[in-house]
Amino acid sequence: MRKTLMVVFAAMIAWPLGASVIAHHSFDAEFDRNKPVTLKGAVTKVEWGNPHIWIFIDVTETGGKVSNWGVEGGAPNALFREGWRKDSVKLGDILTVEGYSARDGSLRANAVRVTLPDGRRVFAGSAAGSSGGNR
Amino acid sequence: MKTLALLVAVLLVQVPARTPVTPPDFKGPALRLPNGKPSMAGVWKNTRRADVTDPSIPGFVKELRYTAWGKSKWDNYASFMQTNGDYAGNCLPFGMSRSLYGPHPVQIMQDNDHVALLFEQNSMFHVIPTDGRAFTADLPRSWFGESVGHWEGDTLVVETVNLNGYTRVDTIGHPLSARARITQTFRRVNFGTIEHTFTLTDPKTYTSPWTLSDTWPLTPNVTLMEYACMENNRAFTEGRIKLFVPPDDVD
Repeated sequence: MRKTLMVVFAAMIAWPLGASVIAHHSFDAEFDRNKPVTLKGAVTKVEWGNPHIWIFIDVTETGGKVSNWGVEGGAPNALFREGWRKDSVKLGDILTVEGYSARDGSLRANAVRVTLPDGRRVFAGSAAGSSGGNR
Repeated sequence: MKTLALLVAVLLVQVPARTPVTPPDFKGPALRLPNGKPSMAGVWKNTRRADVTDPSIPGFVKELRYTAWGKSKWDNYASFMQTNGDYAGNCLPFGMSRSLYGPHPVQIMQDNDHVALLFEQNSMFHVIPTDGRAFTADLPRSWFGESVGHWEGDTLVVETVNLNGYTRVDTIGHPLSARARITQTFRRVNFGTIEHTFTLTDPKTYTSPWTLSDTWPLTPNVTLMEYACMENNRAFTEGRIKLFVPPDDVD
């Protein structure tokens, strides 16, 4: 099934934040640095709670099946100070999320970069970046 | 019309005059406690160190010289987390160094006899007596350990022992043991700046002590926020991070 998802597993070197991800061992407890993933879909839910925000998006597979992915973002306190709010993205917004898949193969990933269709980045602080969370 | 004029006049009289806000002089003298010692009070932009050896962050540790035990702990951290869980991912206390060097601010409150470190990370706190008392005998070991402070001139020196050895030095996972001793110095060089050092002496893990040096700017416009770590810890509640099993070889 995974092969049919609109998921692109890209080479890590293509990712500017890859190095910072590698620098965080606790990241390895949950995610797999060897499984970079790009997801695109409409926002269905935003959870604004510690230690990390979570964004849920519906990703349409090539066969038409829709899978609801959850992606982990930064710590809400740090994001708040950077000016982000829970409603910085709206339900239905189309997001492209670049990140890394969970080790356990579930529909979970961490978000290194979240981008709107016009190229604007949102929730810039990622789980693997400076915005921390419980890492 | 007269009534309206009277009402306007009353309102004008009752509006309190705005007190002009004078910004603090960050280069001015340090605050002082009633006993004359410098106060470290304030919200500080603590140095973020995910890796204490990162050369891009001034004051880093140039070289960590491991014992065989320490090297083993460093080399096997990723596999340890897969078997024993990640204590930070369990929302357990981060310990002194990971709280100080995390991405979240730190507030210091202080009186003549105590220093309180308030960490936004996990909404944790650590109180350091500065009244000359000794370490507590037979105190159970803990995540932050026990600290006592004393003054050397205008420098506050804090010694910390009795660590449980379960924490890591930094996010990347440099190890420490229950035999570690932390020595910190705090010097408020002016109103807006603290110079801080963190020295780890841990003969079980490192063959020699090492020291980090930091400069923290005061951030009076930052207010600490609540950080309820487990409220949305999906990584743990969904099982991707395992329940933490403490290591049994840290003594």
